[in-house]
Amino acid sequence: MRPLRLRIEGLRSFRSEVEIDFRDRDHVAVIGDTGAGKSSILEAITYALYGKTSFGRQADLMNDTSKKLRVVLRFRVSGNEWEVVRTLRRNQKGQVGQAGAQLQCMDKDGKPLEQVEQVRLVNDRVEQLIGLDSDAFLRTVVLPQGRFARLLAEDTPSERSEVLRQVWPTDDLEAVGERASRALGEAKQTRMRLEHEADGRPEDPKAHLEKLTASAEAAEGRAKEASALVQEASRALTAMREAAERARTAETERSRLKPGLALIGEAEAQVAPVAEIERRLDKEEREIKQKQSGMRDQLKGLPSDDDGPGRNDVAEALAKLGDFPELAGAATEAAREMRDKKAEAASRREAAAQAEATVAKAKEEKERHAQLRPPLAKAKEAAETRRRDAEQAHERRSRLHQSATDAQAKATRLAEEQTQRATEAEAAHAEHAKAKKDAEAADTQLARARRASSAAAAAHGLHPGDDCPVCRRDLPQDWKPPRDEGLAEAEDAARTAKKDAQETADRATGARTRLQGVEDQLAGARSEAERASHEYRAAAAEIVARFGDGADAAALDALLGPLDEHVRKSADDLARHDEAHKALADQLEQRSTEAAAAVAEASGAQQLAEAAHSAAVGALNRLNRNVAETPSPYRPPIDLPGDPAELHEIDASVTTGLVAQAKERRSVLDHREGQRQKFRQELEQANQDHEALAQRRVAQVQQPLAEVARQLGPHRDAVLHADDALSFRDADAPSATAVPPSAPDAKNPAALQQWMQALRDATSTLVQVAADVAGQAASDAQAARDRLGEVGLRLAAQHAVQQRSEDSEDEETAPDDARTAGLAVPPEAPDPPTDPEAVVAAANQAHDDLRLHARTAARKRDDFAAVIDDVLALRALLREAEELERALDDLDRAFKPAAFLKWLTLRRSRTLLVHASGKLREISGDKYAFADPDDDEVQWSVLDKESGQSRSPASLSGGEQFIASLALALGMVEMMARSGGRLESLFLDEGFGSLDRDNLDAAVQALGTVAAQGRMVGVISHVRAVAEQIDHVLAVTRTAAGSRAEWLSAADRNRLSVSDAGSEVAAAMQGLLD
Amino acid sequence: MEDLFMEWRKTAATAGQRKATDETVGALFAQALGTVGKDEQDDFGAADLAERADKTLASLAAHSRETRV
Repeated sequence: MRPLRLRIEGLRSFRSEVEIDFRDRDHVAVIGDTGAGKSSILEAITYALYGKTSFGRQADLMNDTSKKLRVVLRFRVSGNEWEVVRTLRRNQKGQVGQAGAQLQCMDKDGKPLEQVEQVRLVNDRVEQLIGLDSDAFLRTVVLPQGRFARLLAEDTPSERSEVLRQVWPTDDLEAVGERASRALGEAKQTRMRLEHEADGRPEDPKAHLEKLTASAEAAEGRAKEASALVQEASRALTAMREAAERARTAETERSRLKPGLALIGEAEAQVAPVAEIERRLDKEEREIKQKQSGMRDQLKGLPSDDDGPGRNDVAEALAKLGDFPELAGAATEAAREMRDKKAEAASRREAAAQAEATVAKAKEEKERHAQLRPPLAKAKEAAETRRRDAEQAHERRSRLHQSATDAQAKATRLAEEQTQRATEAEAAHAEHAKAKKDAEAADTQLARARRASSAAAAAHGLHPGDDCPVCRRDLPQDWKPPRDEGLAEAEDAARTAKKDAQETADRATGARTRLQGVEDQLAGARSEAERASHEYRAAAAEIVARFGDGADAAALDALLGPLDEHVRKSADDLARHDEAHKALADQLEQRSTEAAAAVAEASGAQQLAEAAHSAAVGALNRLNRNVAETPSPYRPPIDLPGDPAELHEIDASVTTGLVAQAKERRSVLDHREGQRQKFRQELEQANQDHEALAQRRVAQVQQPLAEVARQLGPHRDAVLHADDALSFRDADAPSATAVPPSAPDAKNPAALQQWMQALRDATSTLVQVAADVAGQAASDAQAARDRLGEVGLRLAAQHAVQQRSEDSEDEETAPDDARTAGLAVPPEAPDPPTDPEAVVAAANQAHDDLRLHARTAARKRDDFAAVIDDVLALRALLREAEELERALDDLDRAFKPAAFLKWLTLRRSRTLLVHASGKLREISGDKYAFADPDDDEVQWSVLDKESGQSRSPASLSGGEQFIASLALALGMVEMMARSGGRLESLFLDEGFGSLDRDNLDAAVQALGTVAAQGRMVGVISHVRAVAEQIDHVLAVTRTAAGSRAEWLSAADRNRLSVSDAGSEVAAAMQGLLD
Repeated sequence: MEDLFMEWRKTAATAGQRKATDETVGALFAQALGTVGKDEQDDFGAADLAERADKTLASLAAHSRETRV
């Protein structure tokens, strides 16, 4: 906290308001007579901040005659400026009422940023801002008169600790302790949650996972072994069942094949007579086929019709050749008519072309004549434009001449007015100069009258022998009070003179303004006249340039006469041209009508010619089509033109020979067709005889043979079935695959007899095979039964191993497994099953059990593998939480009472005493020092270096206590300066009077060092030597209106240094008034 | 201040006030002192630890099968 400005009103001796500005003053001495009000300044600061006094009730602060007390303190703390206002009021009964308080934080422009009202809130806020309560403030910042040794000698150790705790706040450390306490709770909860989750989980997750993996692999091995036993048992049981089935099959087939041998003998006896009938039918069939072959040869011997045109071509040729003469005549006639029509159309077209050429020539003549018109029209327009320009130029020249004349007249009139206005302005100026001189004389007289009046007022009530209020000497006996007269008259005269001066000044200003206005108008008029004259001369020169010399002065009629004649001549030329052009247009229209008629006639003739051309083309196309469609070789040898215009005559007799050739060919073809019909009838009869023979063969041969084959069909099926059923026989056994799968064709008795023999051989072979298969099946069944017994023994051993594994919690210590156990049956193994079905069922059950066990072990391994990272993290977090909890517990305990903070306060006290001891030695000339206490020492003592004895501070004299307290305060400031603390000012009220000169100089020098470091040091003293060594001196004096405080200048301080302090202060004040 | 604190621990603190290592406690103290008065108050990593613990516990709870021994 650093005071900036203090206003005091109604506080003790400060009856009227006094303002003290502390800005830019670091080292301050407050001097004045006893009772002048020096200490009240510190009381005002203390009261403004805390609403308390250093000595008693706040009502005692109030001036006895004042109705209100008001203290306003502007101060800076932590870089911000604050202003606190405290008020007290006295009621009509003379009692002091409730206090008022207001606190504001001001920005750099003096605007409030924060405002606090109500005494309690203001007190709390001030304590918060300064960081000290009032007790600490009065022990560290303001050391009141006579009470400066409280911290040193009067306070108990706990009170001293409280003060020091405020000076060096431990808020940050306490905040650390609170946060450590909160964090400890959270860390403890986290640790407990982690412990709860870790309960039941392995300490070493990786080792646990390895153990689970080994167990799962062992269980999987046992399951695979069981699976192999199951497969082996199943295979043995299947082998037994298959052997029994083979034996049954062999016996069944053998009994089924034996009757077939007798049946085959009977069939052979039935087939022999049918073979004889078959031979006779074959002889008859050969004779019929010989006859059929003869007829076919006769048909093949007839000539083919391919040696010339066919019957259809001959008929078509005769029809086309019959139409040819008529078509040839029609085409010739159409060609002739077409040629006549085309000649007529060509004649018409030539006539139309001649008419159109005539029209084009007339049109060309008309257009050539039209091109002559624009030059004529342009010449007429140019003549008219020139005449118009001449007329306008003449008019403009006349107008400009009039404008120039008018402007010149106006300029002449304004020049006369300017002369008049200049005379008026000069007169007004002279009048104003005189009035101004009169006003200055009146002011001089008025000042003189006022001084006389002030002197009379100051001397009012004074008599010879009284103290002079100015020089403080007695007034002489012949002194007379000055008179107060003539002031009112001087004031009236001064007012009148000022009024006259003002009025003449206004008039002079008006005259100058009017003169200036006329001068401005005159300048404008002269400029206008010059411009108009210039334009007139330019217009006249333009007329000469365009219409010749003398034109500028010619009259309008003389100027326009030649131009009008030119306009009339150009208009006549244009009218004659237009009349000739109309005659050419009429001629062109007549020629165009004639040409259109000729074109229409040519178009009609062209249409008739085109119709004749189409008819001729059609007739020629029909004749061409007749020739092209006549079959070769009867097509007429004629060459027709592509264009009918080239067709003139056709010889129709060219078809006569062709018609005769066609008729001869038609006769030859009719004879050949008669021979062909005869041979076809004889061949049909032979075919019918062959069909009848085939029917007899079916009835007498094929049907009996088919019946025999049908009777042997079931036996043949039995042989095939046996051959298939006995396919599992040994590879060396006879095969029945030579047996045909079905009987041969019934048309061949020999083939049937051969098939029956093969069937007999196969039957005999299969009967023997069936007997062999039955014997082998009995042997296989016994071998399978033996293997099942072996599986039963191994199952018993497996069961025992598994039982021991399940009984043991530690899989690693279980018996290795059945893989190494072999067939050794442990003593505890149950009796193996003997029934084959029971052996297989037991193997399946064992396999299911071991499979389930292996899956369970694998699932445990997989489940733990899935969480092992989390379990590892859990273990790591638990260790981290335990470590953090221990550290936070240490921090929490460190900030408990009587721990670190207490130790720190004692340490700071000790450090403070070290600093203060240096100051004390410096001020006391190394006579005293503070004893260095231990860290746990709470009592302070002063070491008298001359006697070597430690003394209690309370035992020191007043002067010794003062320098010790001053050293303590300076030590505190220095210590705070090193640690960046908040003590920015220090005020001492008296105490210097008890020091000798050396101690006094050393003390003031020590204070100056503090001030030089930018802190404010205020010293209240009536000792002149103190003020001499301090930069800024505030003199406090007591007057009839109350105490006053003024900063002394350098000159004041010089006078102060050579005269008595008490009287010179008053004299210096008077000097200030003068 | 950190030096004073460590001096107190080594010279005046009781055994009950010194269960953790000086390095750990000193680091926490210095860290906390450096953040006093700042907007982001240091909680000595307790919240971060709790958050990481929550994640791990949640991850373990997400496994439906019992994996305790």
